[in-house]
Parts: sequence; C-alpha cells; structure tokens
Amino acid sequence: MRGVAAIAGIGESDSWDVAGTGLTALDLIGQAAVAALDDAGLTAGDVDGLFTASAYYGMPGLNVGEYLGIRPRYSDSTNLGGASFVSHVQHAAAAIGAGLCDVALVAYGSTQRADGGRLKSVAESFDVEAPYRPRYPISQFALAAARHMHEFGTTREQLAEVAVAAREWARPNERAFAREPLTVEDVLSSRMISEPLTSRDACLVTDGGGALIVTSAERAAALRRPPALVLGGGEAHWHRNISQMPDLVRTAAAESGARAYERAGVTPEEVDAVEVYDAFTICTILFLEDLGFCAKGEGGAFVSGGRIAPGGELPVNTNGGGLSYCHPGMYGIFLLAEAVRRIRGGDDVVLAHGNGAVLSAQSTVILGSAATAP
Amino acid sequence: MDAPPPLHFQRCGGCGALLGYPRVLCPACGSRALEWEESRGGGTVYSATTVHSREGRHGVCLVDLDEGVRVMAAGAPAIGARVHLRVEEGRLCAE
Repeated sequence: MRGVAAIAGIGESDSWDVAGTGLTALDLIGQAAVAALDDAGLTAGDVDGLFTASAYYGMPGLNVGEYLGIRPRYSDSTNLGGASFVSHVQHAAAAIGAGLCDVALVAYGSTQRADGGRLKSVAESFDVEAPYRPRYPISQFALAAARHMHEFGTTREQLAEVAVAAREWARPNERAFAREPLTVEDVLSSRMISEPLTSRDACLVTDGGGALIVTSAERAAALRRPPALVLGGGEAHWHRNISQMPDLVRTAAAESGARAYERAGVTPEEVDAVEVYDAFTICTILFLEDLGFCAKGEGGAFVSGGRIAPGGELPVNTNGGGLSYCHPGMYGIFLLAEAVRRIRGGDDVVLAHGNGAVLSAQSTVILGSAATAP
Repeated sequence: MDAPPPLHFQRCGGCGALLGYPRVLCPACGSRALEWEESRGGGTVYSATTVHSREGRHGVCLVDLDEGVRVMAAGAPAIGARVHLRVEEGRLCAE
C-alpha cells in the first residue's frame, strides 16, 4: 500500500446549516464533489471509482452515481458508520493498486441539522440492550468514559479539556461552525445528557457534505495540488453493541493503528499532526492512547494544559474536529480533508483515525508529503 | 432467535464460553453444541451512566455476572459494586 495512491483533491459543502434551503444530502454531496474535482483539476468524467456510505440511502452508491452522472467501474458502499470514509480511502488505494480503477471519488452528505437534529441512523436497535433505554449513542460513550474515570482517575475536567482544545483550533477557522469562546467550566456546567457527558462533551449537529479524490501517486503528482500520499492504513472491529465490547477502555484502534504504522513504516513519534474522530470528548483520549501517543490511562493528563491545543506539543483535530468544526451525522471524511490540508501546509506525516458506531469500527490512515515518498 | 427468559444464557459445549445473547454457534470456537444455563444473578458493576431526559432520569449499567458474561441492566450503582440482578417486567434491574 505504501505510497501507491494519494489524495489529490478535497471538497466540502458550501455550508454546515442548510435549514430552509430545501437542499438534500445528495445536493451537499454534489457541492463537495464539484469542489474536490476542481481542487484536483479533474472532472466527473475522470472518475471511475465511487466510494460512499450513508444514513439516508440504502444503496447510496447508486444514488450518488446517478446524481453526479458518474458511471463507475468500481463501486464500494462499505458502511462502518463514521469510520467508513477512512476505510474507503484504504479500499480505494487497494483498488487503484490492483488496476480496478484510476480515479476514485469518496463522498458523503447529510442534512442532520435541517432534519431536526436527531441522529439520522440506519442503526438497528439491539434486543438485549433496547429495554434499558441507553440514549444512542451518547450513553454508550458515557459508559466508556465512566469506566476510564474509574480505572485511571480521569476527571470530567480532563474530558472538558478536549472540547476546549478543539474550540481553540476552531476559533480562528472561518469554516468552523462553533467559534465562540469555551472554557472547562462552560463544558462542566452544560446540560447533562448521560453522566459524565454533557452537551458540550458531545459533537456538533450540523449539515454538510465532504468529498475526496484518490488516484495513483503517479497521476496525483501531475495534478493541480501537492499530493497527500497514502502511506498506510489499517482497519479493525471487534463488536457492534456496547455490552459485547470486551474492554470499554481499550478500543480496536490499537489494532487498526498498529497495522497502519507497520504498512506506512512510521512510528507515532514521526507523526506531525493527528486528526481523530471526536464524537465525544472521551474518544480523543481513548484514541490518543490506543494509537500510541501516550500510555494507556494517561490520556486525561496528556490532553490537559493545552498540550493538544494550538501551540501545544501535538496538534490534534486542527480544524476544530467534530466538537467544533462540523459534524453532519458521520465525520470520517472531514478528518481526511483536514489531514490533507495539514500535508499541504507543510506537515510531512499526518494520522487520521475514524470511529464507527459505539467505539465499534476503527480505521486509521497515515498520509505523507511528497518528501515521504518511498 | 427469540429472546430467552431473563438470566438465561447459552454455554458452549465445545470451549465452555458463555454467550452474551442467543446464537446458533459459539463465536469463540464455532461449536454448535450450546446448552441453556441460568445465571444466579450475582455480579459486579462494570460501568454505569445516568441518562437525563425530559421524562426524568434513569440508570443504565453493565454488570459482569459471576458466571462470566456481561449484561446491560437498569440502574446506576457505583462501578465495582457487588449487585444481585432481579427481574422486573422482563428487565434486569441492578437498583
């Protein structure tokens, strides 16, 4: 996989709030796809591979292909929840390497906010858990947070530090949805939803679309923008339902990350910036531990004192993340767009990590600048 | 498969694993030799959360039963607390 493919274009919808406009999830995918193709200097006619996942369409590849006028020769609608798009990039790199397609479009869109803010989900209820009415999905993450606090002494203040650091990244970012100042006290005093998590421990509810263009490293080198090479990736999933997760403070990111590092030939010490799926504040802590940026149990201390905020020692979620940048139902594609921006801005190695469902699917991609080419 | 009575679980005749919910095979070893077994209901709270909603508050917890299987139950006792699950209207309660 190392350096075979590259992300050559990124695009996002015009807005994160389309209430009253009548725009659909497909319209937002259209905006993002046009932007990504233009970014790469390609047209829809160049696309022969299509990768998408959706909470709106049961056969999203067909909807997106028809809407955009794309007739793919390779199509993949793998749905691993919010991790899907991090997996799509890996699947696209594999397909490109195997000669099954040349130019892949990865695309996603949602009007979750305009639809009323409840999580639009095709997730089925689980007979064994549904009678207890956990609030899906925050209660499942709250159970992980409570266990992390119990085992390691992690505090609510440390969880809140994650939200504050994300907001510090978002504040100067004109594209970010939430930019007003945020303090640890603000997070702690926000509306409690599922203890210990408040509304500000939770990601935003926005509308939005995202798109990526993946092609061979060779072709990407001749396109408009500096390529972000796909150095490596890894996937893992061990459970679907939270009661079946073997250990709530140790996620399958430990396995997806290890696979990605091995394939990329890099170590955590060589990573310049990290984009992790922060559906809830506990996610950033768990994933920084499981991806090797600090020891298990030390995540709470690691994220505190501005260490992952602007000016800190490890830049994490540099657009503001799902907590402050945008979160249209599934966030995975936006992690990758930001990772590409970091590479274009001068970073050499950036890690993007997606989570799907309730700490279930874990998918990691490591991107590199042209200087890291094998 | 239909839901079994509360606190009834399948024990694998192949490897001895206790299954978290009814299946036709053991996910640990693949054996189809599964026998029903009733838990005595004693266990330890693994994690817990209290959900706040307009209708009020309710606890949701995960309990590690002594027989070696984890279940969701109503209630939010302290993590690490010893509990005895009772059945109320078909639900497990740790309150």
